[in-house]
Amino acid sequence: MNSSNNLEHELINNVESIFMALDAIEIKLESKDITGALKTLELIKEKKPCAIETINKVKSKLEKIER
Amino acid sequence: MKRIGDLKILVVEDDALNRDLICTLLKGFGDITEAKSLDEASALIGSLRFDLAFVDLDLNGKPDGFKIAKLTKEKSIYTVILSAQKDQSSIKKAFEFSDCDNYLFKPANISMVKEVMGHFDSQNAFLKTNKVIRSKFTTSSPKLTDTLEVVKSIYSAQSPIYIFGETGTGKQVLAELIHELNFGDMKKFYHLNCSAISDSIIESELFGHMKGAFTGADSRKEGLFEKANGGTLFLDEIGTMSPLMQNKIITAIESKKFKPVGSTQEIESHFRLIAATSSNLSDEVQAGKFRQDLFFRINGVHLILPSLKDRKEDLELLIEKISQEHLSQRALYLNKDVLKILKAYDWPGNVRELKNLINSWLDRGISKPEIKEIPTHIINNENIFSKTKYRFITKKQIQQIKEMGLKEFVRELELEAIETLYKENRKKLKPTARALKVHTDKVYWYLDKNSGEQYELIQ
Repeated sequence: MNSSNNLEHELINNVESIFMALDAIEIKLESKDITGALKTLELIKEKKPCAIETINKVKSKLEKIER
Repeated sequence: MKRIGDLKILVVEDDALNRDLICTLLKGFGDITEAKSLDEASALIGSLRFDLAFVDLDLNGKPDGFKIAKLTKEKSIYTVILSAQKDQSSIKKAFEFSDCDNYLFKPANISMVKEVMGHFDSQNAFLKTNKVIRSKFTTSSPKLTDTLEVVKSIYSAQSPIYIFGETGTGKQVLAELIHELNFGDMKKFYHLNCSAISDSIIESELFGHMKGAFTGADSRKEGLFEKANGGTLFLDEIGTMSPLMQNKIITAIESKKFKPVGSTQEIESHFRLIAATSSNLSDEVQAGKFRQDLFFRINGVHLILPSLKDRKEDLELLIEKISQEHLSQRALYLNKDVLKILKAYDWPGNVRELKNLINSWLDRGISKPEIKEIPTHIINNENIFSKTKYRFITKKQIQQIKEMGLKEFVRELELEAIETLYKENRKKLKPTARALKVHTDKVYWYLDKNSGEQYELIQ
């Protein structure tokens, strides 16, 4: 999935999806699906290193532009 | 028709978090099956039935989503492409390469999913409607297509429907189609052909009766007005109903309330009325044979079924369909000459008459009918139902007169008569003239002028 070299898409895939996953947790909790909500939280945790990596890449790129 | 909630949905997404999100959003729309790769998705599509598929374009770094979308479309699965690409060129490419039905941006949210599901629902209903219509009517005729387009827009409405069409055009088939589109099955479809049955039978069938209402009424009988509650009542050939019966049914149709014979209690029944006639009901109204107020009550939506002679372009399609539906499953081949005769005929009995002819061939094991296997009245284009009989000439000859002019037609007719009798009389002029009740000179002149042969005067 992460074939794109475009940092914008990487951000969408890694960061925005984490935020959207909160919606999934909310829906699961509304239907009292605790196991499902825990699974989603685990998935967010797995995603976190990729997201941090992407944030750092974007940050360094923006800093270069600023200089 | 499959409803939202009972759908079989395939989600193909390699990213676990995105897959979890889309599956959560789709929960409640149906059973969800997940796949992470092209191989997994291909195996599932090959072995299970799905109504919808949500397919990520980029799978494990490869654009395998296109291949999966091709497979799902081959199986007529409504396909939604999932992609984080929001630019127009990516969207255009996705639609062009995958022939997908919809495109969903990632990460999706619930309102985006609901929008896609709404589109699926309307398209699904549209496709299912067309499929049911195609199963009942085979046509490329603009006239019939127009009627069927009206049906699409009114089948679920409550207004009464009046169908006008000659015998054999498919009035009952159309009534059944409207009911099936509305209710999804044929339960609660009730049909009464009002022609050639007495008032008392019509009354008993429609209103029903109580036990002991009359001699022989051993038990209570539920009438069609009552049975059709929540469904459809189809009254075929309503124009043949007597004025007395018209008076009796008008209140039941208007108020949806009626009393079974022998009962003092009113029963309420809400049914959709479809009435049909093969004669023009407005003419019957004008002639005072049909109540105008009843006509207005049944004529909510007016549907016209064209006669087969007005949709000759459908002839070959219909022949193909009829032969495919025949139990023998025998192939039928019609040569150009046979087809020409069938196309020239007016088919007063319409599709029913055509069906009878094709089935009679197939029943007798005829796969390649010749002209001799076509009934004479079809070859001569004679209406066997017509009350007006021509004394001397056929309808086909009337057509020939129109084409060649009366003078030329009479000349050809005379020549044919003279030649025929000349041959019958072993080429002797005098007996031929005697048989024709004309002078020998006339016979000689005709034959000499038209055939170029030399004739000797044989007494």
